Amino acid sequence: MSTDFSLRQLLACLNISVFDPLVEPSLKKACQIDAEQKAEKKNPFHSVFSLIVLQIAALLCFYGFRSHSFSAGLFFVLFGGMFLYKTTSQGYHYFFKIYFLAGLLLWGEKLFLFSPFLVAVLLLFFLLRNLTNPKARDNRVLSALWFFGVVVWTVFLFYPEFFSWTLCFFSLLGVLGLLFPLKNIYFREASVIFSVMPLFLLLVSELFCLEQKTFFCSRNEFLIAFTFFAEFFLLFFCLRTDLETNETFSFLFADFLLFLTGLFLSNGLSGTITLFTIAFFTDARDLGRSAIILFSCFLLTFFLSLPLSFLTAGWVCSFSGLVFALFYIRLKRFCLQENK
Amino acid sequence: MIVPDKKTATYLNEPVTPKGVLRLCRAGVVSAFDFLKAAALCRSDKKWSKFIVLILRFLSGLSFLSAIFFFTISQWDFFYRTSGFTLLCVLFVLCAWFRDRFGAADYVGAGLIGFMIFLPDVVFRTNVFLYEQFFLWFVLLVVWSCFARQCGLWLLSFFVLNVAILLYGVQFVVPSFIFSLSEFCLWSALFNLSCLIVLEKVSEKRPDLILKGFRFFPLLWAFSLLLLGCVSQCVASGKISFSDSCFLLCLLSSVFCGYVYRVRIPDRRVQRLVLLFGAICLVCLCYRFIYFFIFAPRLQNTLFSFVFSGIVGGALIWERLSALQVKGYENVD
Repeated sequence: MSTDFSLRQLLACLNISVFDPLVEPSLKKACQIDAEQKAEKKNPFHSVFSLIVLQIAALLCFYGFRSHSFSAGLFFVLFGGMFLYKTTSQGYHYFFKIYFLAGLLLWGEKLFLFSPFLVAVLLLFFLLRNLTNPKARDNRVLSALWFFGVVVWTVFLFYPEFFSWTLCFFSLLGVLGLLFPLKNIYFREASVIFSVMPLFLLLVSELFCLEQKTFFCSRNEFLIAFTFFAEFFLLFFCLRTDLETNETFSFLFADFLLFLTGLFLSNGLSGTITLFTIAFFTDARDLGRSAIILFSCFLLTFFLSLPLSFLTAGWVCSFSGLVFALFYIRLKRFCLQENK
Repeated sequence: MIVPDKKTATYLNEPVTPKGVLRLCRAGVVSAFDFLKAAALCRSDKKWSKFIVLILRFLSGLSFLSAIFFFTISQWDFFYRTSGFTLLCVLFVLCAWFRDRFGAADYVGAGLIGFMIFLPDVVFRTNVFLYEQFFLWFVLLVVWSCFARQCGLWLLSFFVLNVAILLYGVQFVVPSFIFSLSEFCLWSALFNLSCLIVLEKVSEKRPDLILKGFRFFPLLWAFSLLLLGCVSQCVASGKISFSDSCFLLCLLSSVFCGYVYRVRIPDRRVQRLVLLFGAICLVCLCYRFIYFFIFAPRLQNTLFSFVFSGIVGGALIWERLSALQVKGYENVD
């Protein structure tokens, strides 16, 4: 999604001169990164779908060899890794990567039983290593996902009282990564994972509570509400110099309302609204779509959790439909006026 | 003063994108604290407004549909009376009146037909066979679709017919031992494939009559039935039987359809469907083979998961490389 601006015009608007000798090496580097990432896109396996299939295939292989995890893991890592680095064909590279990953999963499971902390540290090492490599997008996504999964699962098993703290920490880390892309750190994919996955786990937790199963149900509501409040406030803090007075008050009021929504209604609703707002201001439409899907699920879960009769539920749904329809008409009229 | 070289100058003249802004931040051209400013300059408010308008429309539609559902459930007793049925008839007449103006009226009318067919059975608990009701719904849908503007109604009729056939098999044919489940699936799949051949012939002569992408659903249904036959044969233990021919038929169908929709009538979506079908079929065949011939349970599980992962990976590699090949031909053209 782009406007008619060129990069040159964008830099001019930000008072960055392309003739400045201090900027010139960075510009050359940006040009080089652009060329590398364009070349990487020509790889037919450079897509989220290919990554998902890779992970599924690796998990299938891992599941079958769990009874011989050490020997099978050794075989897959050695031979899979060897062919992975020797082959020049993209198809064969993808194929051997499946078994190499399966080998790593087999060893990872064995190591997890021995020391979960060690597995988390190793995954963090791989994640940090891949954060500085612009070409290792797939490895970044996989290591971020597994790091999140291992840490959350370890905390859930051994320190359940810190489960909410872990989710809040990852959510805050993800939002920081989204708002502040640092030099030479390719943290975008990890930021998206760290900001979306806690909301997804929150949704699962709320569904468990709906079924009145106490397993995976306890969480610190105030802490989670405060975290989303802090994230929204962080966004406001980044935008504060560009906001007018009435916009500033609207932002702060909205933040306070979100905090109350999280505390008294549903943390998921306030979290997804926060995430959508961040997606809007960082111009990340895919993140916005994920936020809306999660918002719909949280809204449905919230309605189902209310002790209402079918008739009252019908009136509540009609009322919410009316509210959305009013916003829809208002925004449509605003868009038509803008077009004129 | 430094003048950018030709390559950098070309890069600077490119239109800005969100990923382009991120690239500038990572290269150190734009500071991390200026990222939001840069994103605001690059953001297309028009496209975001359209996106938000779409979301609001989706949420309001979903809320109103849920409200209708809850009101219907809460006032279910109303439909037990004559006034309830009268209301449904009035709604149906309104749908018929407004079908020229609103496309949704065609689909609502189709749904109301089904509702009015099933309602008396629920109210009076007639215990009639479901397949009879679905066959009746199909016949009435064909009449309703004849005067419809929406070509999707024909697809809906086809779907209802297939559900009726499936229920006929499950409720009558299989329990009466006329056919086994896999044999019944084979014959149903052949029926769908024949419908597809007829549709292809009609589309050659009168392409305006046929909905774009029509071939996807008959093929999907035929493949699903063939796979159901294969899966039921996988689960059934024992000697090789006539029902095992469904595996052979699946493989032959995937090869034949693959040839037709890659060489004769190129269709990317159908090619992907055929590849998915072929991969699932191969997995079922390997399962049957491994669990029939090899006896150590651990070895069976290990070998099957190894082969399964290989087939999954191989299928994706084939699809991606053939997509690349097609792209190459398109670029050359």
